[in-house]
Amino acid sequence: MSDVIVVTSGKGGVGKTTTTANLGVGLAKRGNKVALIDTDTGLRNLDLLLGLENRIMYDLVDVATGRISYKKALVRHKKHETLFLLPTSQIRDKTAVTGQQLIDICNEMRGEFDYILIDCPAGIEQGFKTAIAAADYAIVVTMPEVAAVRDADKIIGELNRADKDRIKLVVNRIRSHMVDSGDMLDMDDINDILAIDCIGQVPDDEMVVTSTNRGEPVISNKKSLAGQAYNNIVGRICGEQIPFLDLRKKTLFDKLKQILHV
Amino acid sequence: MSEEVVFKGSRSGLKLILTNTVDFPTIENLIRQKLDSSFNFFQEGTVIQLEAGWLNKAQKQSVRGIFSSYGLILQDGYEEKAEPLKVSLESVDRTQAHESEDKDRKLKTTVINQTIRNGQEVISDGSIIINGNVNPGASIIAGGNIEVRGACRGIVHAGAFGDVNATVTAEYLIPMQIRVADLVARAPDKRMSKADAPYPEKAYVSKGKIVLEAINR
Repeated sequence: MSDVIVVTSGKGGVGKTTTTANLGVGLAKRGNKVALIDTDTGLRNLDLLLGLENRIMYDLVDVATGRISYKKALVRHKKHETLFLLPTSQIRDKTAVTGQQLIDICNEMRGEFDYILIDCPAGIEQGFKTAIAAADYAIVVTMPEVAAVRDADKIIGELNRADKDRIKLVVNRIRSHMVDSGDMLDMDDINDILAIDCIGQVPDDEMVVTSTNRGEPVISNKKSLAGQAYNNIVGRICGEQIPFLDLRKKTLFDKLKQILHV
Repeated sequence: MSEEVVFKGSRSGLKLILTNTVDFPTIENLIRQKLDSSFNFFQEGTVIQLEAGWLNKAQKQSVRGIFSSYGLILQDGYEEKAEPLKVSLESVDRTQAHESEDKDRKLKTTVINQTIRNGQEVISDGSIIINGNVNPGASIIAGGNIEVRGACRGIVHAGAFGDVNATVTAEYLIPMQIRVADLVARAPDKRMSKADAPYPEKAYVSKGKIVLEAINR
């Protein structure tokens, strides 16, 4: 039996799709069979981040309306053999797929996949309700910023209302120097308000942008701190105990101290 | 907009006021139009008082039928005026409220054992105790007192039906706004943190102003 996980945030631009793509690649790298479902109908991006845009033949709406089986719409990733994308339609809108249809699709797919990740659209309307309907648990992505945390709080309330009580938090795009100077919320502030289990702290990393444009998620880049952070989240999803990364930029003095063990 | 069908908010809750300047079928249509256009605005189960003494029994019944088809409850303000202010606002919290059985308004206390998050609202005509935080963007509206056993960062309105003796207490009292009866106090423009309220505080009305006072617990 597989886990169906919805990646959601409320606010746009905090990195839902980026997180979905990276977790998908990370889980697949560990040998899991993973399906990513894009539910951001009309504004799909997940295929771009994975570099699979040119391979799409059918989409979620075709599957939901029963025109074809889900197997026909799945796009296998070019590098990761066990990673599949179920893209959505770019032409239709959020009303094209209902929650029940998504539940049916996921139930059909459960037997075949270890993890099914659902990329949720921003907002709390129909698209959100559809996306969370099928999920066993939710990953809420936020940023260390007042508006993003406020929306995450709202989303957690909405998830609770839909009886989704298993919720994990990922704090994305952390700029450690701004947190240190008090210009960004720190983890204590965020935990204080949201009060849910945090499974990831991802730094803001320029390599995320370049990898997004290239269609190869940053998790594959060993040099990237964000990539490492995503890798750790994948480990935690698989049940490992991994400490959080130290995101502070190290000065020369810090590095010396580390070498000398003082 | 038509003046024949008017919804009015008052201390005792929502009122529907109908004037007899047009005939009854027109009134009915106007009500339907209003309810359609304000779809999603009224929460299911909201109680609305009817204020239209000129309607006969059958007409009242028909109006009541329209409201119940929208999931709303219409009470006749004239018939039940004798009774002292029956629940006009049900405790419509979407959270699981454990209400005491006591029907007496003064004694009724709603206890909620969870954090109230952004966009959630707890309304009761009695007092409310929250065992958890009240997050920014949440609101708590009580006819009586409000007690938050945690950090209170949302909007709190105690004595919402005019009781100026109502109080708000919290472990960390750092709300957006405190309202008591018809008075409002707002937070400073600087963003507040727990460090700004290191001890439990109580807000109440003194000399026409909302004041805060540290309390011992």
